[in-house]
Order: sequence, then C-alpha cells, then structure tokens
Amino acid sequence: MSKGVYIHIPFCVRKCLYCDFCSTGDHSLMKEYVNALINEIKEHKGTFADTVFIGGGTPTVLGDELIRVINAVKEAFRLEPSCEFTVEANPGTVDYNLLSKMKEAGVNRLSLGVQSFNDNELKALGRIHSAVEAKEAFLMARKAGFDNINIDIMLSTPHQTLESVKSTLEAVKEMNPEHVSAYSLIIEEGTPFYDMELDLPDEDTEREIYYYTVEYLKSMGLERYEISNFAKTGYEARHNIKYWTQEEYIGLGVAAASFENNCRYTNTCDIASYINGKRYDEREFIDKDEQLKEKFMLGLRMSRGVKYSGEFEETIEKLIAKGLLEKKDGFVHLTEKGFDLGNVVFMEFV
Amino acid sequence: MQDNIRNFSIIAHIDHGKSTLADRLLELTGVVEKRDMEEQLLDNMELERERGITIKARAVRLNYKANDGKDYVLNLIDTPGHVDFNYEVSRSLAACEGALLVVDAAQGIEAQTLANTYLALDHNLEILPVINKIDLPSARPEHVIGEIEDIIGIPAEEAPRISAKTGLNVESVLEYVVENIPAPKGDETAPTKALIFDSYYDSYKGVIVYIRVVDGYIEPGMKIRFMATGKEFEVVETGYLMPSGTKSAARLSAGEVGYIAASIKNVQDTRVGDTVTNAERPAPEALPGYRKVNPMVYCGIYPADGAKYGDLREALEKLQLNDASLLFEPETSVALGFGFRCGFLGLLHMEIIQERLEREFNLDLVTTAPSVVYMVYTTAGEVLDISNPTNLPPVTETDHIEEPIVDAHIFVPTDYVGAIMTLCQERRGNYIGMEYIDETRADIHYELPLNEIIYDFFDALKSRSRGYASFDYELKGYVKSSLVKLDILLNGDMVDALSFIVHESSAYARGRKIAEKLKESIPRQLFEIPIQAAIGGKIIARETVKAMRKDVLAKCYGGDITRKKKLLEKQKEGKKRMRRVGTVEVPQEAFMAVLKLDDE
Repeated sequence: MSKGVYIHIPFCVRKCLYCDFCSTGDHSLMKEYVNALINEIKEHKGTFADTVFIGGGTPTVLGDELIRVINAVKEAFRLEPSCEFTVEANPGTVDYNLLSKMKEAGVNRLSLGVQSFNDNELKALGRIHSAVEAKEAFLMARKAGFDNINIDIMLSTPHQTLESVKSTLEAVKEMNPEHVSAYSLIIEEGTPFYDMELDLPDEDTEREIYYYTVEYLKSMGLERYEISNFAKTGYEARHNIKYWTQEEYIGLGVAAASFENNCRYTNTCDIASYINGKRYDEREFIDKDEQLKEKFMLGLRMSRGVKYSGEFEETIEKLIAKGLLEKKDGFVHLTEKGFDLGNVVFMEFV
Repeated sequence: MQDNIRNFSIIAHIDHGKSTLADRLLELTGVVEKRDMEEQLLDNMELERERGITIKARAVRLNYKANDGKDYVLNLIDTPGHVDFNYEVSRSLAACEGALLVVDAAQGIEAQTLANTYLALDHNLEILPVINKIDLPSARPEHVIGEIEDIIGIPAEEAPRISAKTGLNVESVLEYVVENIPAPKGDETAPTKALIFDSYYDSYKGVIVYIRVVDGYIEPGMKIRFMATGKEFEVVETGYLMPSGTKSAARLSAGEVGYIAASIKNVQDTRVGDTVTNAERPAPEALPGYRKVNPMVYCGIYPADGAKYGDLREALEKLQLNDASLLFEPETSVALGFGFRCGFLGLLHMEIIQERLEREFNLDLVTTAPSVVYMVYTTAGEVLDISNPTNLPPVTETDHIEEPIVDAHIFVPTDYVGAIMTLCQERRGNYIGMEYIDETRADIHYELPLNEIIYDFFDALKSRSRGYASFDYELKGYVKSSLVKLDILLNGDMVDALSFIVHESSAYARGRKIAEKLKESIPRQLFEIPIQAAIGGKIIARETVKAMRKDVLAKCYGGDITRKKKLLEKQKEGKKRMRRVGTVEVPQEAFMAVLKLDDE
C-alpha cells in the first residue's frame, strides 16, 4: 500500500514565541541540511507514496532549494498520479515566482500559516508577516494555480476577543480557502510564551470563540472533520488523516516521525548530527494492544470517529454515559461535549 | 566507678545552638574526627537536619580526661527543643543528674527556655546555664546572665560564655560539667533497676532498648523483666551508645547509660518509661517512670491508595516504638475509606509524624483537619470524649460541650505586643496579664482555646511578629463552650473527612473561608460542583466549581503522538491520585485546605 511522506524543514526567518517545533532562525547549515535531506530521500527509492507533506519550520525559506527537494521526492518515490502534495508556507516568505515554480514542480496543495488577520494578534504571536501580506500571499497562490489551499488560524491567542476572531473569519471567508486548520493556542514548556504573562481569553471566552468558529466555517461549507480541521467536501487533508488512522508514513529530515512495521521512529532533532548521518534516536514498538488503544486515541479525533465492533466496551459505555461519545451507524465518535473534553476520552486509551 | 560518670542533657529554646554545642563536645572529646564531622551529628534524622530541629532524644557516650588528670565518662542525652516534644525532654531528663541550659546571648530567654527549665527542675536536676553565640555582634552576655538570675532564679555568673559555632571557650563546658554535675549515686549491689528512655527496631537484633541503669547491673545472659508489661527476656547483648553506633560491653552497671538487646520481637513489649529489673531478683518497686502524656491533637491519617492500609499500620507501629506519645486506632471514613485516627502532642508533632511516614516509609497520605478532644455531655447524662467531629452526637442529644483551654505564654518584643494581642483576641483568647522581661520584651499571658491554636496559630504568631515571638503552652482544663459542627457538602454529598468542630462565633467566617479554599483546590470537572458549608441542616456558605469547559489537545500529528501520549499519561496519573467522594474527584491537598486560614 502507498505510504505518506513527511519532510521536515527546520528553518524559519525567526522562531515564533509560541513555537515548540524543531526549527531555527540560524540558516548557516541550510545548504548542508538540504543535501543530507536529499540523501535520506534517495534511501527510499522505489517506495510507493500517495501523499507528501513538506512542513516545518518554514519550507519556503529554502527558496529555490525547496524545488530541489521537491524534485528529489518525485525522483525517489513512486508517486501515485492522484498524489496529494502539500507544502507549508509562511505568507512572509513567498512571492509569485516561487509559488509558480512550486506548482510547476508538482505541488498541488498549499498550506498557508496565516494564524490571524489582525495585526495586533500577529505581533503578539511574534509572526513575521502582516494581515495584508497574508491576503496577498493567498491571492498570489490562487494566481499561481493552487486550487487547494489551507489557511491555518489560531484561536485563543493573546489579546484575542470574540470580535477580533469574527473579523479574522470574515477575511477567511473573503479568501474562500478549501481547507482551514483552526488551532487553539497551546502554551508549551520551553517556549517564551511559557514564561510570559499573557493576556489570554478565559476558558469560557475560549469556548465561545471555538463554537463560533465551528459554526462560521460550517456556514462557509467547511465541515469539521477533526478537532481542529475543517474542509470542503473532498478536500480533507489525506496526509494528516493517515496519522489518525494508523496508516504507514515515512518521516524524513530532523525531528520527523515514521510509522512503519508497527514501529514509530523519530529522527534526531539536532541538525548537525543529522547532517553527519544520524537518523532516528527514538524507536517505539507499538504492539497489538497499543495499536488498538491508539486506534481510539487517534481515530476519535476525527468527526466520523472509529469503526466500532465492541472493543473496550466498558470504557466506551462509560464515556457514552458521560455524554462524551456517541454510537452511530457502526461508528463511535465524539459528541459536541466530547470535542471540548477530548482528553478525558483519549486518556482512557493510554 | 560511678564517681567518674556524668549524665547530662542539654536544654535550650529552638535555634539557641543546642545541637551545635553537642557537635563541638563530640569533637573535643575526640570521638569524632573533625574531618568526619557532619553538621549536627546528633540530629541524624534527615528531617531534623532540614528543619534544624531535634525531634528525637538521642544519647551518646563521651570519654574525657579532665584537668584533674582523671578519666571521665560523659553521657550526653540530647533533647528536642520544641514544646510539642516536652515528653521526649522529660524522658531524657529522667536519665540524667544535670542539664546544661543553653541561652542565646543575643536573644535571651525565650518561652521554651523557661518551659524546659521547669521540666528539669521537676526532675531535681542540677541546672548549669551556658551563654552561647557570644561571637554575634548583638550578643549581650551580661544582660542575659541578669535575665537568667532574675527570671529563672538560678546563679549564672559562673556560666561559660561560648560560641559553639566557632568553638570559642567550648572546652570550659566540659570542665564545668565534670565539676558541677553530680555523679550518679546508685547502689550496684541492689536489685537491678533501669529506666527505659528510648528504643528502636533493628531488623537483625529485634528491639534495641536504651536504658539508664539506676541500681544494680545488667549483663548478657541475665533474665530481665519489664515491670509494667511483665514480659521477660534473656539479655543477648549490652553495650554503649557511641557516636558512630553501638559498641558492645560486658555489663552495664549503676549510673551507666547504654543499650540492651534481648531478641525482643514485639514492639509493644517495651514501653518507654518502664523499669527493667532482674527477673530472678526483682526490685520491689519500679522507678517513677514518666507522666503519661495525653495527646492534645488528633487527626485522621489515610493511605492515598487504599491498598496501602496495612503498610500504614506497620509504619505507625514502628514509629510508635520510639515515640510512645503517638497514639492511633483504626477508623473508617465514607470519603477516605480505612485509616487511623492518630493522637499527637501538638501540631508540630503531627506534621513531623506525617512527614516521617511519607519519607521513611514512602507512603502517600491523606490527612484530615486536626481536632482537639471535646467533652460532650449528653442529655442522657453521659460524658463522651470526642476527637472525631463525625462522632459528635446530634444537637438534640447534647446537653453541652466543653473544650480544652491552654495557658499560653508568648514572649515578644514590645513593638509587637499590639499585633499579638489582637491575634489572641481573634482566637477567643482570655487576657490574663503581661509582664515586662526587660524594657524591650514582654511576656504576654493568655488563656486560649486549644482548638484555636491547632490550625495555624504558630504561623500567624510568627508572621505578625516578624518571627520574633516565642510561644509555649500547657493544658489548663476544660470549659463549657458554644461549639457547633460544621459540615462540608460537595455536590450535595456530605464529606465526613471535612467536618470539624468550631466555635459558633467564627462558624460563618470559617465556613465561607473553607468553601473558598476548596473552590481553589478542586479542579473543574465534567459537571458543576456546588460546595456548601452547613451547620445542622442550614447552609451557611456556598461556592461553585464551574464545569470544565475545555480539555483537549488541539494538535496531534505524526511527530506529536509519542509526546502527546506522555502528556495524557501524566494527566491520567494526576487524576488517579485524587479521591473520589460521591461523584466528585477531590485532590489530597483539599483535605488540608481547611488548615491554613489566617486572614492576614
């Protein structure tokens, strides 16, 4: 069966204040990194793949080097004709020229890290672009021929109010993307946000914002198919769905994770070690029991839920009684309350 | 032989340098090389070092060649300083002929200095003052000597002026001991009488009993009897208590301090304060022993994990072995399951026992709010001792309730007299009088209900006097009082472990405060949780823990799965540590939330 391919580009113009991904604003190792990455890509020559996702970091900071990576993927892997090929882009790092080259090279889905259409919020997040630049990037992408675009927005960020979210959503509507990822901000340990005093919306406002977003996107024809992901019919991100349905994927580059032969591998986070040939430094065997648990822990993130044939009956019934899960048409899935309190459900499967 | 023995204790107010002096004496007598010297050698319990206090009495034998050219054996029996451990002090003193009274040259006499001195006088001990910390810039040795003579009424002009910290003049203390503390005057030929002043359990030798031989002798092979319990054993080993551990000796004779091992398996057979005698030639009567102490403060102790009930019992038994003042009996709580109602000498004692259980026995505990013992007079004419609020009979069956009152002395710089008196008034204190120790310090005398000082009085005292106040109390008696039982309901269910008895006048304030505290410590759950405080059936305060609105990981992609699983596991662990009360999950800390309620 064809696999998913994830490629990590650990470079950004600068790191955002909330970001705990593996990325850096130091570009001195960029060239060597791309060479090492292409070598790792080549190791998989002949492997069938039907989704590719180049993420980061900010893949688009590579400029033309990114095109080399894309071409290497096409050469090494046997991509299905219908392959979904996504690249993440920061609106502050793209121009029409680069977008056209990407499209020409075979990228058919673009994921734009917009986060907000409010300049105050963008500044508080430490983003490098303005709301206007985000709109421009979107329009350029359309002009370059992208007919499958995702916009990332962030909810419950510093200074955000229900009113400011409304205006961001109105701008999203104006753009009319095929897919939206709307993430609630998570304050991660080790990020500057963790140690800062932030003006964040309270729990009740936070939920109001989320519900409003879900309803608003729905009215645009974007259905929630996962906790934080919304798409027009047929535009669900096939690559990401692999993560939640335990399909196999190959992660290439630093910090990238693979899931193959019942094992989860995670590559080293250290760029220099990676360049010197180091690969995974974590390997976790996922046995049958664990796989069954993960089926629920991951699968229940999606609106359609998990095809259900009586596993963990007692737990499932308990969660149904608490109003967190629901059974329907042979599936078990989160209720509205379950979407708010997903961890209470997921916790039962770790 | 006895002429060359000196048995003595060191008594002092907390922080006046008792343990440091003990260290120096050990060093000077050469039993411990300076390079092996760990700070506060006698305080070898981890907790003692951390808190800088002595909890357990401990004995050590020192050899000293005095200026007169003779060799002496000095048995130093260390004592705790805190008021809660008067019992331990009393045990140590009974084994001695004299005591060094250490007084801080800067601080002067404090509340516990007096309390410990009176204890020593009760035991007819020779009391030798020592002025410590004379190296401090603020030291006023002459002034302090005047205080000792005026307030305690013992001559102090001869007192060595030392710095235990720097070692200055410490050698003079040893000569002082040899010259002034009387040698024991036991009769070696009389029937054996030895006082048990401590014991501990050794997994190889069984119970090791610390004794002071008063008359006769004890040696291996002798059949001994514990006079109170009547149990008999054959002595396997006798020996001395050296700083480095035990050292066996052929015999312990009158006047000597040491240990015996006699394959004693059962902790209950050896009671501290009991008299050991020769079973074949018993003494006609036992030594006076100690005044039995009654616990002043009770609380429920429960294992966080119900399956650890047996471990908790075993741990309590082991602690009781060398802390006879600890009492416990099984009880059950609807909220907490099986546990023990434990009796303590005071709040510090309670805290120490809890910490020792957690550290030395690796137990996770839930403790309930402390309570004193109330005397409840029922309409049927019975008098009940109630230490667990849950057992309080209904109002309709209660004629009246009496609560314990203590006589309290607070020593405080005059600047804080106002603040401390305000505190005492707030705690229903009854002002008795005030005396000036000198122009800068006063001794405030109050009667206080014990139940007002078991929560956080000591903390409040310290914070309102910037740490300068010292405090001592003793039980005075019982008085009739308007007391009510305050119940706490979570989501409509009464939580027995949170009930407590309080004076009517402060019930409303206390109820509101506890409801607020609980609101802070109970995490949001799937549904809204009303917290109510009630007297009888009447609700007097209400707070609400709002339903949890959001608890969900927004992101989980390929690279996140392992990490997110760990996060969920951690969250699950936290949930497991909570107690389920009815439908509500309550963290352990919530049961302690009722403790810290000072308004400041």
